[in-house]
Amino acid sequence: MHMAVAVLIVVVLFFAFTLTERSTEIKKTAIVQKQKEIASSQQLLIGYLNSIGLSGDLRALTLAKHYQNREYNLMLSSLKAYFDSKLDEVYWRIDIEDYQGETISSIDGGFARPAEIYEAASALIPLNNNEKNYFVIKLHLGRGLAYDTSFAKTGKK
Amino acid sequence: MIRALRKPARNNKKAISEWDAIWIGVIVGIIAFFVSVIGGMKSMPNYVGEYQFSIINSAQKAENVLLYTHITAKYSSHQSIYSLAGSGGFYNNEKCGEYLGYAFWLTEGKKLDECFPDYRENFVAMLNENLNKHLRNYRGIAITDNYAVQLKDKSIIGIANSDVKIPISILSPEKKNLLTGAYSIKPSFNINANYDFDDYLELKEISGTIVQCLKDNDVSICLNIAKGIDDKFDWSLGCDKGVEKIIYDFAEFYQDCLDSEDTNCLCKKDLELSEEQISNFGLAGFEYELALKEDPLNKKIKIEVKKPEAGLTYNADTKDTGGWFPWKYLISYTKDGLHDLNMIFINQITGEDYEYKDIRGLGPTKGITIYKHEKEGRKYADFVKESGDGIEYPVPERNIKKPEGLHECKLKPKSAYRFCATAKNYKLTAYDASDNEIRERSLVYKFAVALPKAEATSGLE
Repeated sequence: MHMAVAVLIVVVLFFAFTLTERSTEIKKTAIVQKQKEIASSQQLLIGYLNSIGLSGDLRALTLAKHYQNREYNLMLSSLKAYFDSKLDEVYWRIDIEDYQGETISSIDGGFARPAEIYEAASALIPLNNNEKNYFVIKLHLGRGLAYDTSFAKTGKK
Repeated sequence: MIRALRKPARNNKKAISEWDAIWIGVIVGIIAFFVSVIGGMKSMPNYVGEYQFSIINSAQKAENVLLYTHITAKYSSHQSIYSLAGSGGFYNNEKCGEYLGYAFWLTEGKKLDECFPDYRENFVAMLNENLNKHLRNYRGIAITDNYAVQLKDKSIIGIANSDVKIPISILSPEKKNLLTGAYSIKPSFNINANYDFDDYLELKEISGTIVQCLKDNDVSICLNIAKGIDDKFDWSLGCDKGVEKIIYDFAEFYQDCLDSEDTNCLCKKDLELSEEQISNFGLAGFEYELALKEDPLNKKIKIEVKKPEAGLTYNADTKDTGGWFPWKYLISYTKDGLHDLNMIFINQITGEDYEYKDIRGLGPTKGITIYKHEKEGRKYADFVKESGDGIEYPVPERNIKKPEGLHECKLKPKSAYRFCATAKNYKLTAYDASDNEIRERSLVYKFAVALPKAEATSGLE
């Protein structure tokens, strides 16, 4: 009987330790995963901006031209086509902001919008004018309750 | 239950000792558990790979700096090529002055080599200024005055003098820096502008031929000769558009009238333009405003564009000529013709403003008239209107009858010419103050040539 009680207490303590350890591990994994997402997203965004579009120009240059001509829809459709193909397993949102930080236009895609969204990547793109000469593209990612640790693909699909 | 469990062991010293050991173990275990849980929740100062991620983040920020620099260099290169050509290869440093906004490549008493621009040096200076405009906007990382520029073949290479350092840092939960350092990059660039800087040398050669030709021929003949030498450029005499057209047309007319030795005469300029001219000059739908201000000390009248803001000015040399001139000159065109021309004067005596609201009621309905005359040994050039047999001033009490022998002023023969050479097969995107827009444009080289007075021809633009 004595032995049974002792074993019971040891088992309870073992499970308590295990659960705590598991919880800590999940938190650490989430942070590492978030960092990985941030690194991958930044790479994805810069990769997109540095790539050559159909017009034969850098995509960043094409976006800048559209921005100057206020053709935001063209910017968003190009961004959506690209990021939908790369980020189909998470929720993502792209904001286009002016030099004052005002959001000019937004688009989202991927999974349904979860509660938590964070800024994963951003890039400044200069404009060819004599006034305030840049705009910012910000990529936000969101995660649901069931955290998907399989995310973070950066390669081509 | 515990009490029940402990009861049988009361009479056994060994059992009591075992139970105590178990309880001590349990208590130590519970304490260890809570210490572990609470301690674990307090802080996670450095999880696996955090430093590495921080370095990767900095490297990625550096990639954005490189992208920004590359795009900026492309913009600035095109803008500098365009602006430099428009200013005749000079960067605020004309060697022989300018004529109605065009830098002289040849002027009286000087050789072509003395006035010709150091276009490569000027391009580098202009490029660095244009780069700085963009780069100082990059948030948090000021990288200005950082480039040694080389022009190689048709490329523009910018070698960064200093590295750009992107900070690497990790903050602990207590906001202490756990890791501090910097990711260093050299943001050099290589832009294929597909532009031949030796265009300037070709133009120098052709302009030498034009100058020789002008000594004996009309300017239109010389332009045709220039076209025959090289098929690379389209040649024209002046090519002002938009606000440049407005200010330099006005300034040229006023200056020519002031320069005229004639007196008791009228200088007249018709401002009506055809639909085609309005379209070519890009004047339709804009309102232009010039302001005139006298600088008696230097015997100049400063003509300045006030609307649109283009930073264009011209200092008319009065040659000690007095007279009434407008304080403001406002003009606008529709696509069909001259829409409105107003001149606002300040009465020097009373300080009141007098406004010409309806130019048709004042004289040549669509133009400017300047009355040149002399009074008590001093020359005057007054902006007036012609009305039947009278000359009307902004102030009615000054109106006079047309004097005997009044005639149209005889202007001095032209001794300076403004040339435009437009590159036929080169276009680039750039900003121009004439229309305040950034768009694809032709590349136009603008320069002026002044012949010695003895060689001046009567050819008019």
